[in-house]
Amino acid sequence: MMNNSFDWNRFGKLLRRDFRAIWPNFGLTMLIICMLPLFAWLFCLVVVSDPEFDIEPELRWALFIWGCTVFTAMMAPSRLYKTSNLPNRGIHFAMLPASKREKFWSMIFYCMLVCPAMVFVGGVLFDCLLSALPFGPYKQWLFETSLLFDGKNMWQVMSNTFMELGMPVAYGVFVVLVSYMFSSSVFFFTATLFRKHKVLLTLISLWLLNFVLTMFTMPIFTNFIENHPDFFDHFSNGPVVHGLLWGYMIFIAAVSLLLLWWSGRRLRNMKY
Amino acid sequence: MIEIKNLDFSYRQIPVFHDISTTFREGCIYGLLGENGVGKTTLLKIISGLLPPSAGTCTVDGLRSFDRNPEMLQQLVFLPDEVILPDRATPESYVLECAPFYPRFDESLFRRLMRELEVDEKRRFKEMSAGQRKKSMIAAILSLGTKYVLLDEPTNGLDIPSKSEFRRIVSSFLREDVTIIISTHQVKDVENLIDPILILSKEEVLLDAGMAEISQKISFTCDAERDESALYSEQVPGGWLQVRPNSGGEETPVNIEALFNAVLKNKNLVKQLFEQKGGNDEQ
Repeated sequence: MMNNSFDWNRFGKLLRRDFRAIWPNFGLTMLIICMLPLFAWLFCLVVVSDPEFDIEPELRWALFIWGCTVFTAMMAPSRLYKTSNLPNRGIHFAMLPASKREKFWSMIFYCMLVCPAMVFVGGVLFDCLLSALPFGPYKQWLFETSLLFDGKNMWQVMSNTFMELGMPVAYGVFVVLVSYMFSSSVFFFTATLFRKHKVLLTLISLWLLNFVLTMFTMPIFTNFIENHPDFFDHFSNGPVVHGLLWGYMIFIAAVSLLLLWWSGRRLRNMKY
Repeated sequence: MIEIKNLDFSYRQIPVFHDISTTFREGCIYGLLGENGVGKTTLLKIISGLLPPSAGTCTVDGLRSFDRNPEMLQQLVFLPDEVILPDRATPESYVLECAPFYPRFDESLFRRLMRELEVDEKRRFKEMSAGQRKKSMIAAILSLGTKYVLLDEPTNGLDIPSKSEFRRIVSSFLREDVTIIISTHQVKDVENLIDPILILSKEEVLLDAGMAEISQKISFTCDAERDESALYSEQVPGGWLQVRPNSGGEETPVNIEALFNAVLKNKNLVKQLFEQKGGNDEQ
């Protein structure tokens, strides 16, 4: 009796098939994303006259490596599975003999894990390549002031920030993971929602949503603060602020999970 | 077996099917005919699990089609009219990508069909004409070895020799456990190939019968004079092609185009004529 819900053998076949589709659909884009820091490197090389100028590894980790990884997670669903929700072009995807659940998990695996990881590794290697050059603004190796080995690294800065608020280091890890999950799940969801220009429409939708929310909440918030000027004094390093911070991130995590669940539901019930 | 029971379907507010029921059995090549917009493609999509019925059920070997279970999908392929394929892919890469999911895939059959249809399996789709792409896809889906093959306007875009080749390939492909459903406007292209015939009209199935039953109940004759009482008359070289209820009992070869026109002109009469025996269930 065939398992119509999830079968590891069939899932393996699907993963192999989807892996082969990465390069033709997304390979070049990933390569370009890995090389985005090159523009900053060239800009500094040409414009900055100071030969001692150094783009520090902290900045490269945070902005270039991590930024590119998150950017890949945002782009991946619209590139790898761009036809999955299209009435005619999506027929091939819909009719492939794998279960809806297997297709969904394969999408998650490649969009949220594999492709971003490939860009992360590619970005690190490319950074090392630029650092190896005897000229240019990369004076230090990426790992010289690394996330793991140095006292004043990004991790330390981040955890210090949270520690000042009395938050444990685990909170920092949670924030990073949830932020990543949220940004990728938003774009994953909108890839099942929009049929064309998925990334662009997502950015416009987010901007509009932000604009509308700000328009509604700002007057209420401003009015409240005017009437309660000592409101924030109650929150200095107390359990309330901890609760709020944890609560906020748990809320964001729940929204991310909800978006993924909703994406799966949309894919299950997709009409072609 | 594909079973449709009391199926309703509508696109938003526009009804397409109302309470239709039919069965597609193994070992037959069904011809799905109908005017533009009556829902031929929609019916194929419902069977393929690409669209859900608004009411009623559509099952393939007892499995609800819209669940798109792998068990069903590996037994059913659907070739849409408009074939949109990845430009960079070749027929070979395409079929080998799908092959692991189809236990009865036959690579040698695929290569033989490609040779017979005179298409290079290593050529990219973007370098092919629409007809060549269609031929590639016909070869690909037939070689997957599924029990159910659904073809939507398969002869559109094919040149004349390819149409004959298509008929030969499809008829040779038919086995006891295989069901082929061909939806088409080009009835001449599938004449002598399809049996039974299912004619759809607005929201209903007008005719669902095998060729034997059709020729038992309807006669197709060529007469010198036009018969005003005929179900359908058409002037042809040498006289009038006329479609009448077969009162004499003598069976004549079925002219599908004339049958189609006769059915559309006399919907109720034809339905009554065939309801006496209950369509292709009685074959």
